[in-house]
This record gives sequence, C-alpha cells and structure tokens, in this order.
Amino acid sequence: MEIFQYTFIQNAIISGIFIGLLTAILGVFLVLKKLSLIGDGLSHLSFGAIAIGLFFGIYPLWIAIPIVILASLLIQFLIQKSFLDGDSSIGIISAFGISTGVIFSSIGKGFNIDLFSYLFGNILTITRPELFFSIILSVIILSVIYLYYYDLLYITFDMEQAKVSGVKVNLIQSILSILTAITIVLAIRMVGIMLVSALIIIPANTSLQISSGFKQTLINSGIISIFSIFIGILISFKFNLPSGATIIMVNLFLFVFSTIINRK
Amino acid sequence: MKNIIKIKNLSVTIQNSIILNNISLNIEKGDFVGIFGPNGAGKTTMIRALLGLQSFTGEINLFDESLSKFNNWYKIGYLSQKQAIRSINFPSTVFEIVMLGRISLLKFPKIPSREDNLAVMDALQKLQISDLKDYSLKELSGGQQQRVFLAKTIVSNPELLILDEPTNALDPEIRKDFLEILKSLNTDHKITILLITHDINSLKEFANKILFLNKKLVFWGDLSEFCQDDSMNMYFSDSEHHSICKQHNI
Repeated sequence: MEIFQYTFIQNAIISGIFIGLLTAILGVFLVLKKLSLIGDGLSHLSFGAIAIGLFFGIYPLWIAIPIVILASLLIQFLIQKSFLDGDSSIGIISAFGISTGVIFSSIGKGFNIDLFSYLFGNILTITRPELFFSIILSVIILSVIYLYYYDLLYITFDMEQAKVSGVKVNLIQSILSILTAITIVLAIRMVGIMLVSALIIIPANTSLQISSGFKQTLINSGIISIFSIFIGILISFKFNLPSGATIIMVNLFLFVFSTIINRK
Repeated sequence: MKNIIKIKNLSVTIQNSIILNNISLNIEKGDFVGIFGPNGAGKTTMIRALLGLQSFTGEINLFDESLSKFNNWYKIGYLSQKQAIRSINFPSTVFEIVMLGRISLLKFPKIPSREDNLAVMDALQKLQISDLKDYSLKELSGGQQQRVFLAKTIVSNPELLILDEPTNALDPEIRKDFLEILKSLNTDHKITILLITHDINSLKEFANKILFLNKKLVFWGDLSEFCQDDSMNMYFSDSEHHSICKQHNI
C-alpha cells in the first residue's frame, strides 16, 4: 500500500482512469465503424506535430491537438467524399506524420531524448498540471458522448439509416473525429505514440467478446481498460518495467483470456 | 386522396450511365405499392433518391414538401436491402436497435423517455418478439431479425414504410407471415407501403398498386389496370401474369 503514497503514482492512476475510460469508450465506436487503425494514423501524425513543437520550443501537446484534430477531420472528409477508403486515408496521414517527425528530429538534434519519451510514453511522469488538463478534457469528452450517445450509436450501427432518421451524420461524425483526436493526443503521454492505438483497439475488442448489448459493451470496455491500466502501473512499478508496454501486455492478456472463454 | 410522394421527371445518372430516366408518378396515402423489375432496373436507386441518399435531377416531394426541405423523418420508416447481413455482428440488443427507430422523434439531448421505452415495447409486442428484447441479433433466426428491423421501422409510428427486398432471405412460411404483418399495417393503420420485391407472388396477394421499372417507368397503376394490360406479357410469361391477376379474380 506504500506505493499509493507517492504523488507520481496517484497522478498516474487518476489520469489512467480518465484517459483509459475515454480510449475504451471511443474504441468501441471506432472498432465497430472499422476505423480501428485511426489510432495508429493519428498517433503517427502526433509524432510529427510533437517534433515540430519540440523544435520550436512550444509545449508539444499544444501543437499536436489542433493538428491531429484537423487530420482527423481530413480523414473523415476523404472517406465521405469517397476520394479514398479509410485504410488508405489513415496510411497517408500516418506516413506524413512519421516523415515530418523524422525530418524535424534530424534537423533539431538536441531534443531527440524528449521525442523518445513521447514515442514510448510514461504514465509515471505525468505532472499535476497535465493531470488536471487530462481530467478537464476527459470530463468534457465524456459529457459530449453522453449527450450524443444515441446519435453516435446510430451512425455506428448504420450511417444511411441514421441519415434517413434525421441524424445530422456529418456533424456527429465530425464530433467523433474531434473527440478521437483529442483522446489520442492525451493518451500519448501515457503509453506513447507506438502503443496508443492498442488502448483504442484492445479493450473494445475484449469487451465485444464477452458483452451483450451496446451499453454493456461500453461499460465492460471501460472496466477492462481501467483495470489494465491499474494493474499495469503496479506491475511496472514493482518490477521496474516500462509502464506503457506493461499496460498493453495486461490488456493483451485479458483479450486472450476473453477469447478463450468466449470459444468455450 | 392525399399525395404522400410526388415524383416529377426523376432521372439518375451514375458515372455516365443512365440508371433512371424521367420517372413521374404520385403515390397516395394508403397505397400498398409493389415495386419490381429486373436486376439493375433502378428500383433501389429510386428508393435511395426518394430518401435523399442518391443525387438526382427532377423533383421529389414528400408529404407536400420538397425533399431538400423535408425534415419530418419520423413519418418515414425505411428498411434497407440486406440490413440483417450488415448488422449481424453489431453488439446491440433487440431493445437498443428498436430504440434507434425513435431517434427521429427525440430532441437534443436525445435521451429516451418512459414514453419512448413504452413505444419500443409496444412495437416489439406488435411483432410478437417482446421476449427477445435482451437478445443480440446474432442469436436470432432470419425471420426474427427481420421482425426486429420492422419493429425499428414502425416504432416512430410512421405514415410511410419503404422496404427494400425485406423478405429475400426468409423461408416461404416466414415470408408470408412478414407480408401479413405489412398488410395489417396497411389496412388497419393506413400506413402507405412501398415494397421492392423480386417475389411476384407476394405482390399478387398484398399490393394494390404496381410499379414496374426497367430504368424507365414500364407500368404504374392499379392491379386491375396491370391485369388488363396485355403488353405486360412481354415482361412476364403468360402464366405469371395470369397468376398475379387470378388471385384477385381480375
């Protein structure tokens, strides 16, 4: 119990609960809309945006949030107008982000260590201001999901049916894109650019294996995600392992376990 | 009779290919319209244009309002082609899916009230699937799934039902049950129905109007006119045409 007396552990657990809940809930919508890889694409773009921030000496997330929001809306636009399918749009944005990041990190040699901390994340280094920022944004995002729950559910179930029922599908899709973008940037501090999409995909898929009903799937996804983050933090502290990767390994274990149970 | 749908000079061209050419017709309240035609005749395209899902030239009015201004979507229930196949793995329960049909009635924030819950239960009861409300779609048979989608379609008490080949995947027995339900919605609740089908047998028993498309309007009118129109033999074998009409002693 001594572990919970450390401020950095308290910060990690509290921010983990909020951000884990966000990624888990949005993950269910994205997985069912077959946009699982959007987490990968947007996090790779964040790599570029963070490199730009570090290069110019600006707090990287201030740069990353608007750029990733714009990219998320661009992906939505490209898919809606049938210019490109989802995979290709995400792939192109992803390549652009990585290339930008590599170029800026090569030019501004001095900040590569900082950039690495964003690549692999570390929830144990989250500061108090970052914690408050995460909580405020999380509460806003969760409130928006609550208010637009049925619209979000409908566009996930069937876009055309939703449109014919008077749902403003473009608006709701844009809301989903913006929420996803902000959530991904927030989650990068926790598990890093390389693993952030896992936080979107794995709890949702684990929950889909064992849940019946959409609401239940959302609730279970949230519980699985928070549990994984909590256990991941404890294990990483106890055995001095990287926190992001440990959280994902716990998630993977639960996914495999749920798959085995589901098959029986 | 009040016009529910007015179509004037409707044409649809997709990638330089003419899918529908200059269709004009009016559908009145209480009509049960059977829409049929060969594959690629433009049946689904016409429905999609009516619902604003397909760009077109011409004019479409729904409930005396231009389609571009039409906002009362709760008046229309739409069941699309292969809905069950597209949604089979969706994790929602039957209750949650039927509730989606109430969305067009809800104001922001769209949180269902007790009345909405009762309406869902009522729709489930009408289609005799109340006991399935907590099941997910993949646990249901094809016939049960179609009933769920029909319940979702009627839960907002629509005045117009548009159904795109809803009975394709069903066994003949279940298909008949499903069409009986439609007929009762049409006669008892005066709901106007547009039903796309390849199953001519279903038309002869249930539809009072026939719309035969083949990129253009080949036939539009009452069943009696259809039976008296000898040129229809061109499109059907004699026996088929005969069989449709014989059912009604026309």
